[in-house]
Amino acid sequence: MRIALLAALLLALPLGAQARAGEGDPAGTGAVPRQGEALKAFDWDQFFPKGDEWRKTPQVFAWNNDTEPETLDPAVMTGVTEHNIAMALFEGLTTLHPATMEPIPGVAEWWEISPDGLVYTFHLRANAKWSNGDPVTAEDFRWSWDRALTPATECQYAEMFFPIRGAERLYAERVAGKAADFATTGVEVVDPRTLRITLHTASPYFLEICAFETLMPVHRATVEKHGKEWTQPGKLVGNGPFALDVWKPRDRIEVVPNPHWWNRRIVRLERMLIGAIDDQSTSFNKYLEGAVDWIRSIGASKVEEAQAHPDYYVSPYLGSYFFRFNVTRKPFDDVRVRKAFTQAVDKKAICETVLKAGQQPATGVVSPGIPGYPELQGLPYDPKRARELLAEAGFPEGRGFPEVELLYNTSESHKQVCEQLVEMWRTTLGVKITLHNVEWKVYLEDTRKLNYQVVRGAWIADYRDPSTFLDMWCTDRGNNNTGWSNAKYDALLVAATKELDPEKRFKILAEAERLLCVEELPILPLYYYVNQGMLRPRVKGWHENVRDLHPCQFIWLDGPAAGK
Amino acid sequence: MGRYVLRRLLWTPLVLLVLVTLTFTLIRAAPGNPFSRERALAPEVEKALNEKYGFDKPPPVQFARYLGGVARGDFGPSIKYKDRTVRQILAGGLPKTVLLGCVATVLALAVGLLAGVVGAVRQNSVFDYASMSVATFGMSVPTFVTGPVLVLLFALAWKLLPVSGLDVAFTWAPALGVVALHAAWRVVEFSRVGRAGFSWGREAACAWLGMLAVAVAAVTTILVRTPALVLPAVTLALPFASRIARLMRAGMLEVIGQDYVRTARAKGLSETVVVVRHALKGGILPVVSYLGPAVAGILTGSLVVERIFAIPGIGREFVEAALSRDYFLVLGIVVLDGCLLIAFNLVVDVVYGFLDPRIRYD
Amino acid sequence: MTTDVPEPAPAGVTEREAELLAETARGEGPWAQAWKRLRRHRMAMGGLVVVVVMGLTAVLAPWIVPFDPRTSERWETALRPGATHLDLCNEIVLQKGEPRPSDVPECVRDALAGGARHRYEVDVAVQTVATLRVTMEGAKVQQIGEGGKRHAKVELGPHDTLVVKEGGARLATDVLEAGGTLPPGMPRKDGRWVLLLEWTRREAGAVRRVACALEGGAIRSVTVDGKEAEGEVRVRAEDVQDARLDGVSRVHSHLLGTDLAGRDLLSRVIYGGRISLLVGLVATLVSLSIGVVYGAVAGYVGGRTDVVMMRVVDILYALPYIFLVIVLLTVFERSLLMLFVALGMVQWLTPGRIVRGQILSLKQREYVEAARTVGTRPVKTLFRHLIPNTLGIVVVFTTLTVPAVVMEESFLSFIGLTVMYDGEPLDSWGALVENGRNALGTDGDRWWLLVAPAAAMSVTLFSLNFLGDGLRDALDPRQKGRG
Repeated sequence: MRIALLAALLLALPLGAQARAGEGDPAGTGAVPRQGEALKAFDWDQFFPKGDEWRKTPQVFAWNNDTEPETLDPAVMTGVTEHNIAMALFEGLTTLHPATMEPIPGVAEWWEISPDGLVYTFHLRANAKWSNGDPVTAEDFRWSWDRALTPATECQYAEMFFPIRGAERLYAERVAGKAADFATTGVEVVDPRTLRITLHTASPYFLEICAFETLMPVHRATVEKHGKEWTQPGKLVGNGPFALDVWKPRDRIEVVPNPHWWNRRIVRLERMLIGAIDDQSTSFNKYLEGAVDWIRSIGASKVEEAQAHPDYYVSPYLGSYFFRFNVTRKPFDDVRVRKAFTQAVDKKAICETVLKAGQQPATGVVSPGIPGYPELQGLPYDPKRARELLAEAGFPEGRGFPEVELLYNTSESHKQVCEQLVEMWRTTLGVKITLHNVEWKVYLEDTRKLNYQVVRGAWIADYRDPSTFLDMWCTDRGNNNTGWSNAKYDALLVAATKELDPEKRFKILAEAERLLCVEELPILPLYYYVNQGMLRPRVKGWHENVRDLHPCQFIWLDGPAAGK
Repeated sequence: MGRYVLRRLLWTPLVLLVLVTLTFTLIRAAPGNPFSRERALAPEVEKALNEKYGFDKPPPVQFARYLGGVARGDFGPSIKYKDRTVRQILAGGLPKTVLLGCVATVLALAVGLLAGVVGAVRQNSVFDYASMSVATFGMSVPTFVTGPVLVLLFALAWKLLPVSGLDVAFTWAPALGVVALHAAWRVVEFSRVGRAGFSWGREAACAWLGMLAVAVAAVTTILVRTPALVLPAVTLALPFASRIARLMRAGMLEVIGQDYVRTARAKGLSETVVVVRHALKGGILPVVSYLGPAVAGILTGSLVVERIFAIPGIGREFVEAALSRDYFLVLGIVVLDGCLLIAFNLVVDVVYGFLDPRIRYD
Repeated sequence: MTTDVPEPAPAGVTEREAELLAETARGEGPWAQAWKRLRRHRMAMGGLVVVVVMGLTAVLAPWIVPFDPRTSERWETALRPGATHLDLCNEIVLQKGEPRPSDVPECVRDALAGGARHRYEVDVAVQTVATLRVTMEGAKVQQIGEGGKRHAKVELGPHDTLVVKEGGARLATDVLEAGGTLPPGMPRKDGRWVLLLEWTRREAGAVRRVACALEGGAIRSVTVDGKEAEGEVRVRAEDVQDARLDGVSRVHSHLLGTDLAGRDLLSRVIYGGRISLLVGLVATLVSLSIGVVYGAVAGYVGGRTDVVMMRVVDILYALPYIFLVIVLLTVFERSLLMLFVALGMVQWLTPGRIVRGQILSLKQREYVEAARTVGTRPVKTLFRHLIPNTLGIVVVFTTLTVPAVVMEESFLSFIGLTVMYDGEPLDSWGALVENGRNALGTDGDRWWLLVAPAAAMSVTLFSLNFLGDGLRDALDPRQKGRG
């Protein structure tokens, strides 16, 4: 759900990313052990083919990151833009496999998980170092997490810590102004190289969360010495594969390999230039010019042109786009009206006419791409049934239907989607819906205060698990924003947290999704996001993946620059 | 004149105060808050953030605090860009915006004045029609059309200039050269006419020409050394050059019909002398009046150009700051832009009085 | 404006002024004279004609647009100017009895309304169309993609066709395999390149003919291939090969093509003009009335009042206007009225200043001094003698302001602050131009999406400017023919 930044700006489509076949494809993916000392033997060489051919290419990789990062402090970050930079400058206990997004060893060399799935013991590498040569210890993590859970740090992703026992309570107390000791949480420094973490419910996705930006460590001495300014070049000390060299706000960030990184030998790039061009046409032009080798997104109106270019890529992305109904107000308090509105929408047509990049029509809210979780087959497009439902609800042919407004935040592609929707409702159901666009901040406020009837919404996954899409619809959750509440749904999600068997757990979650998207419909799922962008073939070790995250220690260049 | 300028300067803090008050009230009246994002913020967290930035205090207290900070040169933190203060952001962006604005202004003046004067002198000639048509066209096409079309032609199709990028290279040498040439010319002139023929008025007139020449030389240097600046500068300058040309032509036509020019002509002075010595001075008045708003326009117009050409100036910062309710950043940019505009309007008024002696400053 | 011309200067009457006096003496009003002079100005008259035509088009838009500017047809996206299409809806529902008005094509609706006997026929071939994206390197197929999907292999059945999308050539191949060599018939190039193919899969069976008889405001019968249909017959528009009413093919053409969402561009440009011109005109009138009166009063009264009034202008000048507009458009409803207020508030400053400057210098003229000495009331002097004399510069400024406002509105569209019009976000010229610039292909493709609205906008603004020039010459004749 890191949509915030993206959608906030005038950009519309999701960011891109996924697997390009070719050299550097890890052999035998999915072979990462889930736990145990076997992890020590993790084969880093699998990411590289043999040969020295690449050495002939100057290893300077320039790409556009779409916008200026709001901060370089990992605890404060919220967006995909920042996450991509954080992965270069910092490293968590685990890190992500570039193709599959599975957690693989990071600062932690290996780990153990207790049979009940509650206790994680991480064994840190002896040679993990900060970019100034200091060792990275378990205490660094404890201090960084303590800092992140201090309200003054402005960590907006504190929720990521909440699987840890006591973290949620600690944070609430601190916000309320009470002094609360971090030692009361489930984080325990056993010795400088061992960190034991106790969760309050078994969260199978916790290892993935450990690779998340919010849980990355920061260098205590640096932060304490420089305060807010610690992220400036020359001051920033990180523990990631790269070190910050230049930061020209709104222009670019340049990073160079961190000589103290424990796995320095696998980093082939000599320099990486991360651009902050926010205009999508300009970004596209920069790519065509040859000035950058990768752009992470394509403007809606450039899609067709991009598709005719050999370097275009598109792949599924863990995100879904939907519309919320305000179930506390007429006429959408009636589930038949919600169903009628849902079944009257030809989602395929919208995907093909407006979006055009191969977005898949959605009938559920959990985006496909989570291993082992089946895609929900929800309500189909059925205009006849929609008319019947609306008639049953007391509005035959749309007669007597109250005035309804569709709210969306200002953006050309949202506008086109909404225009299509309104047109379909008008022709199929005979109801007149007016469009209302407001700018981002007003949109957020209206959504939150249920000051709408139908509103656009979207959600991007934080980790590969259905709960990232489903938790939010529980009664009174901060991101529910529909007024919808269902005891059975809440009970199903609680049951899922207690289920240790992954298969059964997914079954429970799938049942919850069915309840949400087939029976109750507080939301109208529209489509699943895709990643799309342009990548030069000479960029190797870069993989398309469902989270659009690209650990750049695995990337290198092979071949001459474009246009030269 | 000196007293007038002094009085205007004394007014300035008051003007700024009104400006800040107005901005502060308006931006705080806008719905939405700076911390909201797609993910909901727990109410407690929002409270903590409000306390941190002092938004829990009554607005007058916040306002007083802000003014106190500004007086000490502290423009507050940026709410959106958490690692930087407003001052750092302004200091980073202003030079780029100013550079782009200056280059565009000089280009617009040089081209616009020339086209306007020639158009007026040769009224109804082919050149007049052609230049006025181009000028009218230049005013009728939005910057965000000219920009991309120029990029398409010069950067992508013919690959003459870069799409974007701005690492400025500059040297003073040509500008200093022009200064030296100008000085040499005046010295030679002085030695020719002698002390009796010397007049401060003529020196002043020549100095204007010299300054324009220096500016053109400096801008040329920048553009030659920084090809990435050519397209944005031309894009930004085009509508202003067009307006200046039209105003100059209109102003010249107005003046040429007036008594003192008629008298000058009746004295048998050559057409060039009439134009340069007499008509130009009066005819330029509408252009001078226009320069104040033109600078305002260039400041905001640079928003489009900065976006299209990915130039990290403050114009690009501004709309985003307002949309994301970054209160301190919005206020900072408003104060800065306000200072620039006030200063420039003062200069324009002084120049206006200088050129039109009929205006009494009292 | 008053009906009498300013008193001629007592001394130095030129021939031209004498002529003017003569015209006045002949009893022609100053406006009649101005009109006469304007008619002699060819460019200005051209401009006037264009402005009038554009204005009429804008006013009459709802009655003259060929298509509904909101209806989009997904199989008709980005059609070139002059492209044609069958007059159809997304889905046609035909059933005996009264048809649902929204589910039948317009021609059927019209025929039904006529009440007489008609026959409507469509030829249907059920098919799916997808665009395959085939990446090739050298003589090898690298990848076959369809939207977000990857294909390892595409095998063509007896009813499938693969057609090169741009050129329209049919490929002589029945299997396309990733990693394989290029099948015969595929164009070859060096290096990496992409071929876009249109993959049409037709369901087994011949083309079916759906026919219906219309009479007396209702569908009398529906047949499929000659057999009476039971219940309703649904036809997807993209499956239709041909549609005829009484034997006449129902083909419409898009003069300016369609946009990326398949909407008729001409209709959208006409509606865009309606909004842009309305905004331009109203905001200009508002700002000019404020500006002229304000500037004249400041300049004429002078002294302390002038200083205070000009300081107010300075303050408003110093407020970056875009900020004012953004805040006004967010604090209050995003409505057309708010836009007028916001733009009008900003635009009156410059005419105010210029009029003040003009008045300051006019004040020194002999005839004003004369009026003052004979004891004319200041208000009368101001409105009789001074303001009419600033008319030239005001007219010139109007010609600058209408375009400026239209441009400013387009600037707001550029940053995403589009205006709602009657509950619908209709695109102004500015918004259309911005969409067009984004849609413009690097090879100049889809140029009409930029050129059509930009040309409409530029030609109108251009004409306004020329008209303004002409008016200026006509209204301030003493300058005519000088230099």
